[in-house]
Amino acid sequence: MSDSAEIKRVVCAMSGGVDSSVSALLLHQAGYDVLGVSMQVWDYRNNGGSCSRATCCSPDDFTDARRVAGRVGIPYYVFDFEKSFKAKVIDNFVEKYSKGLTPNPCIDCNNKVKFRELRDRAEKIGCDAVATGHFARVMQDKQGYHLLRGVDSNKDQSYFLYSLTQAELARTIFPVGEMTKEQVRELAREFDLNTADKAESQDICFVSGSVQDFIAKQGGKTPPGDIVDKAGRKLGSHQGVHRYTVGQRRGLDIGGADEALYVIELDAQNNRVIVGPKEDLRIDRFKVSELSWISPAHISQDAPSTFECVAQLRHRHAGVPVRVNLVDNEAEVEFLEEHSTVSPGQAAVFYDQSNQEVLGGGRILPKLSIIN
Amino acid sequence: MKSSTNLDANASHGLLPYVKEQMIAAGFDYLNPSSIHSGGQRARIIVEESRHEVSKLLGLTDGERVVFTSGATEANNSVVFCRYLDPKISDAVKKSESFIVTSELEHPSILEPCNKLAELGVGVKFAKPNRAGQIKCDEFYNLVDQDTRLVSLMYANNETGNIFPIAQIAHEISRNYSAALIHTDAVQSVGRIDFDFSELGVDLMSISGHKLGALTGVGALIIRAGLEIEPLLYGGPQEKRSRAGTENVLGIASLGYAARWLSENKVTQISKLKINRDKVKSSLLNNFSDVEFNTHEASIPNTLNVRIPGIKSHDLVVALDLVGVCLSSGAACASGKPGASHVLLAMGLDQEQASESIRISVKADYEPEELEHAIDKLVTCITRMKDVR
Repeated sequence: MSDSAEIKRVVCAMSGGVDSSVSALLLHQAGYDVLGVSMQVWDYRNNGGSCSRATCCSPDDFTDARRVAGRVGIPYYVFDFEKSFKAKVIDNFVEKYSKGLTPNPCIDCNNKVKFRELRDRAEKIGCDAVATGHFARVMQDKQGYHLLRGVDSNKDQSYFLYSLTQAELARTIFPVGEMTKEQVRELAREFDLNTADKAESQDICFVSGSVQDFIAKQGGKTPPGDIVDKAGRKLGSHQGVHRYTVGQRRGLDIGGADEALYVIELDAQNNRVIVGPKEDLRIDRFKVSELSWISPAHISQDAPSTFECVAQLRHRHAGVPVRVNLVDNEAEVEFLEEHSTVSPGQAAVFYDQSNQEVLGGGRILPKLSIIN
Repeated sequence: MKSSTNLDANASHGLLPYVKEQMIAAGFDYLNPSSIHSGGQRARIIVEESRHEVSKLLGLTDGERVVFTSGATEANNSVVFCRYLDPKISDAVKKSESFIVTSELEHPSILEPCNKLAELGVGVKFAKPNRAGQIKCDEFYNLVDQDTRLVSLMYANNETGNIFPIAQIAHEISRNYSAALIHTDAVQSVGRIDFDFSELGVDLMSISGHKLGALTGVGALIIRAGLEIEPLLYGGPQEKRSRAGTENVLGIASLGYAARWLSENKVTQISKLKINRDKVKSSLLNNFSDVEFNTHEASIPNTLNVRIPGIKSHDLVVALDLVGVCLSSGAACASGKPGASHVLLAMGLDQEQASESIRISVKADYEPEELEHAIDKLVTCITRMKDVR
């Protein structure tokens, strides 16, 4: 896909949800030659779990997408990505959890499957661009392409897209980025799309039960061990570090403490869950690796190595002011106002100071062990 | 969506224009074929006229019967389960390892009922093909023994088009193991090979309507003279108690019209199929030196399974669909999810080779220039996809 060629034929990734349904409709109305594609990423039948309508990619969702394609009047296909999804998303997800991290598989899926492999295959069949139902916007100016938050701040999904490249942004369309969720639903109702009032997909699309059971089933089970405090004193026993996340309070099953205790660190190397009072969760700085920059200013030759910006630390996090200092291939991030909590393994995504444009992002590193 | 050129006739032929005309003319003012009154009689006449046409097409003689079903899948399931359901066969025989002998290349509507029976403890043996996709008579025969009660081998394979020596195998087996019923799935052979049922020497044969230009949802099981089998469906006495349920009159009518048309046009049809298939084949050979055929010489004349190294067949199917050409990357699948062909894997192709194989299956009749245009698009698409690589 060359950068300059006009976009004529577009693959619209259809999950069977209302956002991608309306995306396909809008593209078709805008005169693009659209084909709808659902990505088969996980075999629910052979991996347990019901094909409940709360998840995407289940056969029911494909039927919904197929009916939408029929009503819009576009061809529709299912592409099989099971093998690469397993290798690039699931395996990493399981591995990170068993190392005491809290990964975000949606980012891997976007980065490595949806906007890479789907795009490669789209190109092979003669398509110029990929569209999705993400609530995000792409704006082009003389400097290049800018990835912006969706207009509907409650639904914004730009957080998941920070690892796209300029070349990819040039060939990406987010048709619902300028709309609110309610406007999307209204349009779907107006055109009598069968997905107009479909419930939102929740949580992680390939996990139908608990994440912990999924991890165990996929071979990421970790052995039981000790729950300790910062001083290294044993307070109880844990069921494997993969079953815990930083910030968790419930289910620790340790009595006798005067104050509420939270998981403040998962020390997979020594098989320990470290707990402490709430204030120990709050930190003043953290490090980010696997950095990827997307805004024209930050990929240019004279990109700043120290700057202030807004960091979003998880999906649906409002973002907090930080100072970023780039050292080697890592970012040292310092909170400018209140100290906050972070989950190692999650993405930290940096936005400009108006909290609208994605600058780039990376993975939050675990802190060095507090005790030793 | 616009109409397109069907190079996927093994999945479905599409309604023959003759069938469509006849059906519109017939009007179908009918009631239940089992009813005594005139509304019932009108339906009964349609069903019996169709039975006559199908009998004629297949060269049936006295006592050989056509039992209409909902399709070849039902006919195949009936065959596999009839021996299991037969109270005259002892459990010990049912559990012997060669109770059923079939092949790995069968359609899922044979393989899956066999797998189900295997789960229930019934013995099933599967013959393996060689690398060319052939089933050798003596190798198949060697799997059969005195406990075998059912032999099922397709006449021609739906994915490769390769023909199996069913007449020879039936002859050998019936001579030495008379307790074994012999069945053939002839779904892809009718109208593509000029044969009569009796010359195959089989006891049972399945056919499908929509592969012949009739509607989907209708097929038939052909039963040799004097043979009664346990039905799959129990209920009313329809089809001489062989298959309960009110007849699908509309579907059966379409099958009758298609059979009539084929009886009259079979010979020219088969020649045209070969000419059309060979046009595709020579274009591929002339343009791409690296293509490899999974279809050998002894095949039905309309099918060409070909591997194009480096090109994912699923992507080619989508790309061609976008320019109005229908073909397939293997057997049709309801979900739309592609998987590597069990037939090609059984022949010894690896996953990658199987995923680079497409099936082209032509009809006899196209609009003037239609097939040529489709071939041009096929060549253009493959060329472009090789460049993108």
